[in-house]
Amino acid sequence: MYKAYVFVKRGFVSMLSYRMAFVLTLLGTFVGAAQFYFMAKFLGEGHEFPLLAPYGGNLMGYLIIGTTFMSFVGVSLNSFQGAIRGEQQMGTLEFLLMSDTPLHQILIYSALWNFLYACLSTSVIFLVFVLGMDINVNLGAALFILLLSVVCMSGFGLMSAGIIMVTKQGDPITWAFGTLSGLLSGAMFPIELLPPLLRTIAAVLPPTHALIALRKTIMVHAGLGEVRSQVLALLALTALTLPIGLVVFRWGFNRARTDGSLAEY
Amino acid sequence: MIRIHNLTKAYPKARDGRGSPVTAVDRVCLTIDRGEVFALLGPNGAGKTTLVKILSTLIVPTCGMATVNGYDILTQSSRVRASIGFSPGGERSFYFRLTGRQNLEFFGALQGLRPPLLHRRISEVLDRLGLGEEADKRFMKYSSGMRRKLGIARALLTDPPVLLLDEPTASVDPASARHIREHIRELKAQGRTILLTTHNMDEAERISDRIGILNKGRLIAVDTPANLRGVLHQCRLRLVVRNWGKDPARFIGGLRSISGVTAVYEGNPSLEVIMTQKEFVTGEVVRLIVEHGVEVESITTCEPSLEDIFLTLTGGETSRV
Ligand SMILES: Nc1ncnc2c1ncn2[C@@H]1O[C@H](COP(=O)(O)OP(=O)(O)OP(=O)(O)O)[C@@H](O)[C@H]1O
Ligand SMILES: [Mg+2]
Repeated sequence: MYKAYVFVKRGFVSMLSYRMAFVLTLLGTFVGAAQFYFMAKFLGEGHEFPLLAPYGGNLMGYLIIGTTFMSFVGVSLNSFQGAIRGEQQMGTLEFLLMSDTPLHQILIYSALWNFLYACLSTSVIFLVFVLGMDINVNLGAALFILLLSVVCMSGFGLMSAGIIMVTKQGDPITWAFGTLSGLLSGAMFPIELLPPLLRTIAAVLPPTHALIALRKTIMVHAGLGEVRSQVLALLALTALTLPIGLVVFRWGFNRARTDGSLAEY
Repeated sequence: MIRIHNLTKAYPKARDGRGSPVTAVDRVCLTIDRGEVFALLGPNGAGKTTLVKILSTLIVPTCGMATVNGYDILTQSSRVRASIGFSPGGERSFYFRLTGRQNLEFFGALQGLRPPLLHRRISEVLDRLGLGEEADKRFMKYSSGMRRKLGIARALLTDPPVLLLDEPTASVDPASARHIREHIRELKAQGRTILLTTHNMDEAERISDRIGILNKGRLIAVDTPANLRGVLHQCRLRLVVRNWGKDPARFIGGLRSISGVTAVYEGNPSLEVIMTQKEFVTGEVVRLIVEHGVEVESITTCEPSLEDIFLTLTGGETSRV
């Protein structure tokens, strides 16, 4: 636990030294959400949204949760490879590996900070918009879903990190997953609108299930029992993606150790 | 303490990603005893860093085996890591935005140290390396020498029995280099085994119990500094010339053709002759001086430096530093 603490502390100290950047990130997410606030106001005037009925028909909440959640998709996909590339650029990766803290712990702790950072930078939106709106949050359940979906998507993040250690450049997995999730997982519109084929693809994307469950827990105070099928889907996908992610990552790591290119970027 | 047998590392491809495989370490065999300071000496690209990183378990060797502190680097790598302190050759291996102390806190914690022991160890190593005053400045404000010292400080945090120091005194000013060397001697006195790399023959000669000369991945000589000198019977004759006489070129040509002379370095006004048979060559040199009417201000002989030995062993393939 002390190790987790020093990782978070390190992130915090660095963040404070980049105070400006943090304030700008905060402002950026805020402005982004404001955009959807006005958009929802504009579109929602005098309209009913039957497809949003399960979420209390609240278009504004629907859109803001959709866009905010996408930043967590980004965290899950990029935090491992981002952590590794960051350490490579600092020249510290070899030391982390020498420290005899198992690699998976190092990854988890780095990701933990990224997750906290994302929570921190979206918490303002959450407070201002979500608490200010006519909704009923089941905070515990919502956080659980958020965490579960981040873990689930981390499988893809691990694959991407493994590939990047070898290729030292962008990988197609992150790109495909990020783009498909943006389009198909129902961040901005209900997936019921998609043609059947695309809807099938959407069903295997973790963000699809995460978004449904999150919206229900945040907007209509659903408990975990009411979003059972989404939770099960996320668990099943986790059981599939996480082991694959670990295998790909191990492969990339060992390749880099043989090439002697661990510290290169 | 460190046993290396037939260790070989062939990088699958050269750094630029093209071309044929590079054999950076080539069938190296070596045993380093407990409490010994061993200097690995070699020119750029000799394979020193590669060898040290293999022992640190950061690079997987192509073949051969090695044990550190009795543990196999391949099958017991985590025990190997727990036995060593490693200080890297480069300058970038810390978080720029954190202070020296915060950096050590981070790495120390990852190595399993916990407060209050962690903080005590940090203060100890910082004082030892004379970084006490700079400890709370951000790493990015550190000079090269301070960065190097912080690297050594980190290697010492866990009080390991084996230290692997890649170029511990590179880019450090002479006073700090002396300080670091003194510190290495203290560490040896505490019974630690130290493997360090350097291009500096003088340094290797001064602090090590034995020296290994590495060239193009091959360990071409391993011996004590005294023996490396003795074995080669080399000697250096230094002339300071006042007047070069009628035909300087023929004079120098004459020096080169004396049997027993391995090299002549021309300078003005001084000239150096490297030779293997002291008495005979000195006589011949004096004869040539008289014959060519050269006026000499002084002639001195000196013990060979490792530099000379190194040049002889590597067949003068590297340029003179
Ligand atoms: N990751 C790598 N991939 C391919 N070739 C490499 C790699 N690392 C080192 N080499 C090559 O291996 C050889 C030995 O390099 P190494 O860094 O071990 O030398 P060194 O003795 O430490 O040199 P220096 O004194 O410059 O630090 C060099 O030819 C180098 O180009
Ligand atoms: Mg080197």
